[in-house]
Amino acid sequence: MSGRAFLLLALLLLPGVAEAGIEWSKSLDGAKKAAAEKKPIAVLLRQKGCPLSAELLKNLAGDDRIAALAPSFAWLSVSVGTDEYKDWFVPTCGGNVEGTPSLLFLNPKGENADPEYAGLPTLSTADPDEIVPVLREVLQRAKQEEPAKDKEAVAAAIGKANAARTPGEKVAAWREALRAGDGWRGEEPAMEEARAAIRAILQEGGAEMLRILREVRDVGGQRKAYEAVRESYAGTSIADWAADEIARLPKK
Amino acid sequence: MSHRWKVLFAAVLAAGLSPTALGAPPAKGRFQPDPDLPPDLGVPYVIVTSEELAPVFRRLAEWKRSTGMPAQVVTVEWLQRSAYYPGVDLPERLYRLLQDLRLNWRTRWVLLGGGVDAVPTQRIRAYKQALGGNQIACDVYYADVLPEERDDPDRIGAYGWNGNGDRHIGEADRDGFDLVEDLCVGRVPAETLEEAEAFLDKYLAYVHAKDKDTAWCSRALVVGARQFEQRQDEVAKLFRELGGDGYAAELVVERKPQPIQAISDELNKGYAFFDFFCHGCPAHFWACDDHTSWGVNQVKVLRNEGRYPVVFANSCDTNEFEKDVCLGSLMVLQPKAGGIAYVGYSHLSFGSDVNHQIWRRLFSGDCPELGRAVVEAKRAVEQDVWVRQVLQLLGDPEMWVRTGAPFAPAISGERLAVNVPARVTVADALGKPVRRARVFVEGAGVFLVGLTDESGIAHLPAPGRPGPVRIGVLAQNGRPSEKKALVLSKTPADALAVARPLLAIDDAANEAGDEVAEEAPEQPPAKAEDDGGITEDGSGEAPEDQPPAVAPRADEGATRLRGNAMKDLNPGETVRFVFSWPKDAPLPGGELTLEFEDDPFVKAVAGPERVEGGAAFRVHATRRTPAWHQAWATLRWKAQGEAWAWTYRQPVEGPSLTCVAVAVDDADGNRDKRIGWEDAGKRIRFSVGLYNGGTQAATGVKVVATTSDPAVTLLKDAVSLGAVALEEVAHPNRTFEFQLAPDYDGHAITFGLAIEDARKNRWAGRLQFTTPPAPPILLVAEAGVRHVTLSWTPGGSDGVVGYHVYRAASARGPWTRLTERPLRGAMRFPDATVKPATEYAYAVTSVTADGLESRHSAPVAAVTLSKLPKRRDAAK
Repeated sequence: MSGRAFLLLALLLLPGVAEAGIEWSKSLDGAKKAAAEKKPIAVLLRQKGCPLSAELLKNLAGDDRIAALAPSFAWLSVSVGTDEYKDWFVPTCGGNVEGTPSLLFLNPKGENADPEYAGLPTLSTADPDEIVPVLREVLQRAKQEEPAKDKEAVAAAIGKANAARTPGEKVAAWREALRAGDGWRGEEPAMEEARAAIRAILQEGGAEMLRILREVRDVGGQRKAYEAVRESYAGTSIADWAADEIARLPKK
Repeated sequence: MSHRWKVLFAAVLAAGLSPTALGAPPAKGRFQPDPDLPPDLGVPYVIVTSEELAPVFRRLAEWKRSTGMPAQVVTVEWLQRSAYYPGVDLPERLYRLLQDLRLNWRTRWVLLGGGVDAVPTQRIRAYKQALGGNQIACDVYYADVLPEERDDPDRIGAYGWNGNGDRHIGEADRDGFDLVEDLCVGRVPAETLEEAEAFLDKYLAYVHAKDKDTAWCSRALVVGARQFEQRQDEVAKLFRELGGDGYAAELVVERKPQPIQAISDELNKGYAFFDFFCHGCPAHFWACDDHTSWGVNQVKVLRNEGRYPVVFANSCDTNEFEKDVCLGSLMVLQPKAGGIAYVGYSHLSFGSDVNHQIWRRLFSGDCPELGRAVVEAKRAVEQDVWVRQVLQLLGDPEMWVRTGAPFAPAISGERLAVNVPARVTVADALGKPVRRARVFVEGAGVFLVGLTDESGIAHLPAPGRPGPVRIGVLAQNGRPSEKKALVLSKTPADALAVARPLLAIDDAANEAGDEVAEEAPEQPPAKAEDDGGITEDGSGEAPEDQPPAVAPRADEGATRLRGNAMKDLNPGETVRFVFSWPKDAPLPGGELTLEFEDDPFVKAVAGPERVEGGAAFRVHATRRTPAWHQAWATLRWKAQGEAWAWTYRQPVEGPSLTCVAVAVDDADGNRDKRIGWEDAGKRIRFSVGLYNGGTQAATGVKVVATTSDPAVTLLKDAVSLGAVALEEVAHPNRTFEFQLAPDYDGHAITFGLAIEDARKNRWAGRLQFTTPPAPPILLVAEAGVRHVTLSWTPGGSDGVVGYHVYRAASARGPWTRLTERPLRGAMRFPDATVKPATEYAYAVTSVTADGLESRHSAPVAAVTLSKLPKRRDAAK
């Protein structure tokens, strides 16, 4: 999508549009009011003409997990070049910010230096899979409970992974577990297990591909073996690798 | 290639075997000149464009041909399909194509027809640590294609802009390029057919200058902000000095009450040149010290149709042609308005006076072509490396620039007869001779071209056929004009007709016992006795008191031809070029010379010597001559006050053998294609297949294998393959044999191959046996403003000692390797060469100790952040 299209999309998603659970405040005072001394404040720094800022706004509006978490935050959007940016943001938060977009978190009083919030990363990504775990972490620091339904989703995904028949299905299930639980402190062991499982499955897939390369002698046998790998690792990069090797084989 | 060996070939590639050879690559996909072009002139003008824009640029090429400049269009899509030009990415492949054109096809002008999406540019490492990063878009990359040592055949082939092989292109003092432009390159940055059409429309209007108002051709507009007024005053004075009486230079410096509108108003009047010196940025320049700017918004409303200036921008960034919004691009592409060409900086400008050098050359009368003026001006400011790197041309490099009132050249005094050197006289409306006009004669299988001298006379080659022709003239400030004429079949009484000699190549010099040293000492060609000369008035008439040349008897003192008179010129040979004339035509009695123009590989080393029916020269092609090298030989003869010149294109021929297939067989009859640790202690047999991509069949081919691997004992190291026909893979079932040590651990085994044929042509190859590792997995990319940090986990293969990192603009590639050597002991890589707010894709490969590389990992995308505004002002 061109830069201009991103900008148009960003304009459509300006503060004030309460899509998908995010109500944007227009000033720090407004955000503090919305925080009502309970909610952490999520501050988004963006600027005109920044395509990644536009993509982030789009993803914030479009991700179901963020939609579920959004009401637990007060949201403030600051644009580079405005008075709010020059008078408040730069002296208070500017040291942590390299460019746009940047998403950082303040305590409910709007303070940046609260030790409870220390160590939280300033997010510079538009990827919801990286944003959601940090939102969850922030909520836990703000002493908000982990939703029961996320716990259930993690348990269900682990169950699915244990019952899966093919490596591709296992990887998909473990990825679901990561989506549901990543960032919730209570789920950390399960998340470690998910990451390790995905890594191990993909490494096994790589080893199987190498075995075929080394040991299978005839073209027909190779084709059959690669197709089996492609099917059983469907949805992973191992399946893409198998597809590439099939494409390189001489035509029948 | 038979099906069996195609299967084997594919399997070899799939297994990651990497046979390489030092022989020339197959000829498929190599540039060939358009058969409609005249055969003796090469392709001096080439347009590189996309298939989408090609229809428009083909019309420009046709116009060029119609004015005596053979031109051809090459598309980027063709280059991508070609198997011939190597390179890590498309810019490097295009570079190799242009190097081929320069070396072999006499190309001197290159037009890049399209923006960077159609015809990519190269990003090189700037010499100065400039604000905003130190990578700049640089079309000069395509112009500097030869080293300074042009006579060194080894240097030519290796020359490039990344001599140290790292990921930075164009590093001063490290990469070995000389930044001297060997081609004149210009770009028309059109993105669409409409933009290309708009440029062509303006271009044809400029070159024809049919508008009744021609006063604009004799004036220049010079603009500056107040701080640069003094310097621009000097430029205005320079224009008046160069243009002479009647030439005007209008200096505009913050003209009140509306300084911006004042510039537009002046441009609307029409000027031949627009020279400005102001601070700038891609979209505009600051015409006033208070930063009031003139730029793209003003270009869009200009009303100077038909009066398009050549623009020189002494200003930062206005020629950043890879940007979506660029003043230079818009000036050149704006329909029916703007400029006709734009010379400016694609990065910072530091106020060089190179524009003075350009204007001096254009007004000198010796250098009407804009691109050549720019190249020569840059050479004149040799010490200013930055200018040579960053100053670039948008527009046609071979455009003849208007420096005065247009006129219609008059053609007269033509002497056109078969086999007689042609002459045409060109004068202006007042009868004054026009010097340095291009005169061409075309039609009926004839194409002659030449430049007029001080007397306005063009001495052209002799036409070889009679018939109706068209004479055309292109003069600086002239309107293209032409005239119909006739090449007579009858020789005029005062002229001598000499038919173009036939060329045959004789290998008598290579008979047994006639050994020739690899590099024969260069000797100047011997001259025959001088029987006449050019008279003082240049007319070529023989003085009255000199008798006409008398042809000696055919066998008087002549050498008889021996050996095979029908052979080709092969690398490493000395042959005789034998020129023979028709039986009853005079043999040369004047001065006969043979030259190979600008050729580092082929030279005339002795001659002429009289031979039966003609004259011969000894010619040597160094063994390092690449196959398919085109040698352009010009035979010149001066006699009786006349001068003939005939050009011959002689390809250097020979077989070219590459190792392309390997079949491995262990002693159990298991035709396994791969060798691993499980083969320890075994005897292994393998055979090789050779592909002949040259221009002749090879016979008596033998291959010898060598290795220094202590785990390998060669039991049979030599194989005879016999003959390898053209474009065939010869793969007889004759095998090498080796024994693996009992403790062989599966490491890669490498063999060197020495290939030789019966004529002692030699090639080298290399074989490597092993299976590549698995790629890394789980890539993560964290992006900042000017950095992206990549991290990954191993793919799980044994023997991996490092990783290579690749980057591309998207997951579809093309990929550029970022790591000079494999990263060892780390699974993170910081990339600090990225631009803000830009999308990238990354992939990583695993590398084993012997350098075997895995396929790419699944790519990961990263988008860098947009930067925050700086506190201090940027430079101009």
